[in-house]
Amino acid sequence: MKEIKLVFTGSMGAGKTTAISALSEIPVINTDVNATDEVIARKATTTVALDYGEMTLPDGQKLRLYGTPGQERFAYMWKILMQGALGLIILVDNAGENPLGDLDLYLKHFREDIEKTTAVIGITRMDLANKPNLAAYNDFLRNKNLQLPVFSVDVRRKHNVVMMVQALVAMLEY
Amino acid sequence: MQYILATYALEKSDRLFINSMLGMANKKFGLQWRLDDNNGQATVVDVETPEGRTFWQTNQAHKTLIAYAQTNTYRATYFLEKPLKVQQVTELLKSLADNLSPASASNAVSPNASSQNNPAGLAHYQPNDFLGGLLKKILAVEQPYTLQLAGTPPLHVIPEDKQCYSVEMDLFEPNPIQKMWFKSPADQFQKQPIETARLTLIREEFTSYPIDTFLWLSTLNSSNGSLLVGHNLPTPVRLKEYPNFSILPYESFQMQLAAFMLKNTASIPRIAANTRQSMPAVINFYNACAMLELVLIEKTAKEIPETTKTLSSDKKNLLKNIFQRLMG
Repeated sequence: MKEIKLVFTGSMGAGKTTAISALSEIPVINTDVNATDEVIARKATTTVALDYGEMTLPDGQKLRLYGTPGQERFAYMWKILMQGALGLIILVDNAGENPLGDLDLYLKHFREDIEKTTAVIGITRMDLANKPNLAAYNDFLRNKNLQLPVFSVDVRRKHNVVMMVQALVAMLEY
Repeated sequence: MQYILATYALEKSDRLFINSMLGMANKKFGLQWRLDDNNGQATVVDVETPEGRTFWQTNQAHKTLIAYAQTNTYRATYFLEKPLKVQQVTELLKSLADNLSPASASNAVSPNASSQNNPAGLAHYQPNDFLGGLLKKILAVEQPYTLQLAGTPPLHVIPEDKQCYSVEMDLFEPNPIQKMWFKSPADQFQKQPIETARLTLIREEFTSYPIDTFLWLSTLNSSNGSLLVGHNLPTPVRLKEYPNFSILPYESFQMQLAAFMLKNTASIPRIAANTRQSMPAVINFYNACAMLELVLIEKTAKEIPETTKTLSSDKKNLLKNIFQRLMG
């Protein structure tokens, strides 16, 4: 049977592991390692291969939730994880150095997949940094001729993560 | 192309009058209307009778209804004024025919859209009559105000912060008292400017909520299926961006409307038809999006045809399953 999966990607520290944990019925399997000096200022560990969680659908099938490693040097993993996925959730850390640049990076890498499926964008940590605001993200997408939902989210709140997946499903329907 | 009208709780003479009007409209406009109370695509309801009122309240969310009364107290999108007048009825029939799909082989009552261009009696939603209009005015003048509605907590509006301040509450599940804010007429709110010296205290003492959340809830709750004044049902529209549902309380069908309207340019009746939502539900959502300036009016654009993206039944079931799981 074909695997049913969603992929979470995005900048390091944006909350991919937390988002998957919010939905997963099983403890999230991850491959975190201690961060290097370069990233330790932002988080103690970082994902180097993938996160994995799952949800059981009403008909008994499993919806598999994959999180990609955040750093671009693991980009070869991104394409592999995205194969056959229903869609993509991109998380961007607004308190990062260059959030729009981060989004641009993921859009470039996943553009083909987004055009085949769809994507939803969640902007995290807007409470710590309110610029760029959502309007700036929407303008950025428009300039790239992309029409995708953008939300301000706190991935520690399950309903925010649920909302992103609901939006993704709705986008797939139309 | 055949169209079917039904009546409910009308006096016999009114029903006969409407029936004769069908013949006139058919002749004048080359239509094929017929009356069948069991299979109508749109139903004229005498809302001044108890049974008519009950029927209206039960069915207005999912059927195309035309309120028949002396005044449009229901603020219905489709309204026929008593006593019936020839011109009013024929114009309504023509407009409905312009926007309804012809009766299908099954002749089932369609939950899909119908609309009219701007027929006599069409009621419009005037946001200035409700909290949303008050908030817009406060934003325009950039002056902080406290709004007080009897029986509810004060609502402190600070345009500079784009926030309202009030007691702690869950606007995603507002209680009946909070709902009063969203349904009460604007003239029931007392409006008091806030002195600059009090702003810091208000910010510290109360919980903040985005003004957009109040604009959204006020419009959704007070539109009652009437289109925002200055807007037209047949004009193609789309969303320029997806509503930020993390601060805008939503129901699942609004997610679907947002997705459809982000990806397609269509008139409101077409949106209702393609998403299989009722006209009032689409109009309320459209109004709320327009109040947040999320709507693009595409007067010259060609709307999409009356078909939806074709998904395999397996894919449809899968998406439905995921949605159900998330709702649980």
